[in-house]
Amino acid sequence: MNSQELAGAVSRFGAMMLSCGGEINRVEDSIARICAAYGYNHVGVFAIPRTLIITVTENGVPVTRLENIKDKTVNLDRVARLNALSRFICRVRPDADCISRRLDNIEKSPVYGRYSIIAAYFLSASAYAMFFGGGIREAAAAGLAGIAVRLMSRFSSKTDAGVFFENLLCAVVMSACAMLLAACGFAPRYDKTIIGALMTLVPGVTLTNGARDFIAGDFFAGTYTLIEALLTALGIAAGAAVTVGLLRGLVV
Amino acid sequence: MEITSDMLISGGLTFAAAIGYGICFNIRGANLFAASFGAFICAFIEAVMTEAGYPEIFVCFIASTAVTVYSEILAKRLRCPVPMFLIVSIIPLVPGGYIYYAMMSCINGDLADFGKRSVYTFEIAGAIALGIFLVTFIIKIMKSFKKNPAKKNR
Repeated sequence: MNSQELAGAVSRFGAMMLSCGGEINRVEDSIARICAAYGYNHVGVFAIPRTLIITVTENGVPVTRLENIKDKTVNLDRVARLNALSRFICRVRPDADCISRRLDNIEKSPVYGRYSIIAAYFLSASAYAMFFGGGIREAAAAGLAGIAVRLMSRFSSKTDAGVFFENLLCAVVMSACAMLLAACGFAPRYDKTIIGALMTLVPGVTLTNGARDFIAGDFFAGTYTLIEALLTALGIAAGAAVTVGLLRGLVV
Repeated sequence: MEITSDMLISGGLTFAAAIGYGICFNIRGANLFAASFGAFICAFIEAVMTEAGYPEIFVCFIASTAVTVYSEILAKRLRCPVPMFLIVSIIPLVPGGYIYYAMMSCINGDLADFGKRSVYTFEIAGAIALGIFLVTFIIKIMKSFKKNPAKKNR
């Protein structure tokens, strides 16, 4: 495989991994390993959550690829498949066509349907509402608020408003939903409802990946990721606080 | 010290919640159940140790250590990335209640309570992170010991 083909294959690989929520360190490490497997030991990789730069040098001639990752959707199954592909590539060293066919397959790998995800939000929010001390009514209300979160997050991720405002919108809708259900007497303990639904918004992936990037010694990516998590959390807190403050008068 | 049904119920609830959480991140098949079982372990340890009277920070640290060990073992066995299991398993430790009540005392103007609860939230977050850090470092050290003899043989 020549350096052109290799750079094309690994940049597509890395961009896919970044866009579905792989850690920065995993992306850089996999790319370096793949290149080393083809005998390219002089490789430069630089990744941050939305940008990937790769330079492969052959006979003193560098080939550089830069990828911008526009939309990010967490898909841990895809991370696992890409991880397995990187092991496969290092072991078998297939040609560029084979790699691109396998990447196509991974792109087509199954995802849960729209309604399963809505049901998952319902399940998650209601179970956490009960875990934090709510009753059956609070659990049902939290489930409904969780569904509202899902519908809102689909809309807000299209608005391109940034993590803070996207999560603020979700939190506003979620707590408004909880407050209205409390106001009509369905689930009076709205604090439990909101805590349950809030757990679906917790930035678990960014927090865990940020912490792992720090451990790997990649402080730049770690800081970037943790600030994203912090902004998400602040957005949730601000949205919920404002809404509860405004609508508290409705609940007697 | 006996295991009460409350502990199993809180474990079961987090298991259900973790299934939902895992579906949102598109974890599929056996991995989904394996990851959610981590959440069960996490909530169970939390409930047992809280019942035994340990302070909450320490409980969070131990639970996060246990869950990280569990995730590392599973990742090795099932040949999947560690975060797939870790993300779902660690979520029950997130102090959702504290965050909410801190927020409420903020809008009520009770700054003393707000400060206390926010600091406590960060302490818990720190304890969780410390658990992950500790296990990951130990595994890194173990790996570096494993690699060295192989290099010498070559």
